Amino acid sequence: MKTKELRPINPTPQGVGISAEYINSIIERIEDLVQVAQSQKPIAGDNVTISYTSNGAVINAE
Amino acid sequence: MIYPRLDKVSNGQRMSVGLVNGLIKRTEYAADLLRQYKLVAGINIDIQGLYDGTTVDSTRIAIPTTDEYGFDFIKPNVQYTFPPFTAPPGELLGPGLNITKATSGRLVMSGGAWELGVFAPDNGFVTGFGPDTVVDLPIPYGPLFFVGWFSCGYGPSFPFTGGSMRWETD
Repeated sequence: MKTKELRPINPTPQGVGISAEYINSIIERIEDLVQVAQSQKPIAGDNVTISYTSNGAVINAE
Repeated sequence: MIYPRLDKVSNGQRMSVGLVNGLIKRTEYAADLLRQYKLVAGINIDIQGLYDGTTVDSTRIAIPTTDEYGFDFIKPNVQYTFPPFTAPPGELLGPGLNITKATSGRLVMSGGAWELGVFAPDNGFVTGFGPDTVVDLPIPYGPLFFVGWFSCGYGPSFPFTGGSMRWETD
């Protein structure tokens, strides 16, 4: 991951103002997560088949 | 479901429902990808999820190359050569090949003679084949019989003089 872990914000009686920078850091963190998720796609190699299901990628050895 | 990349926000922009929903949907898109790409063990595979990665091991079971009598399963279009053999007293059979998987084509035998093992449901018997024989497959012995193997020799009285066997496929 290129981004760092996000820190929670603290509430105040007057409410919380959230800066554009903070929202952008959340967006960057999510985009980082998307990139990692996309790169995790398993690819079948020799003697292996993969079936993609909504519950996971089922790997079978031939 | 695929949700497009989020645009960055600028100073003074209002926090809108659309922006929050965009964050949520893009996060759920990533979560759905991770769910789909989670490795699930299928046939002959062992998967262990660990903190620093996922190990994938093959649990392939070795395919037996010999039958319960010790005969090798014959492979198509391979020349098997057997040296002369005399079965000792009390033993009927010498080295041979299991031919149960040879269901089409022909068996070409040179030298000999050969013994063909034929099994009924509860017992079995052998029948002789002369040298230099070609047998079309499958060998007809009726639905209740099972043709098991060809072997060299049949006791000390009928020594095997050496020869070869080949399963030719069409």
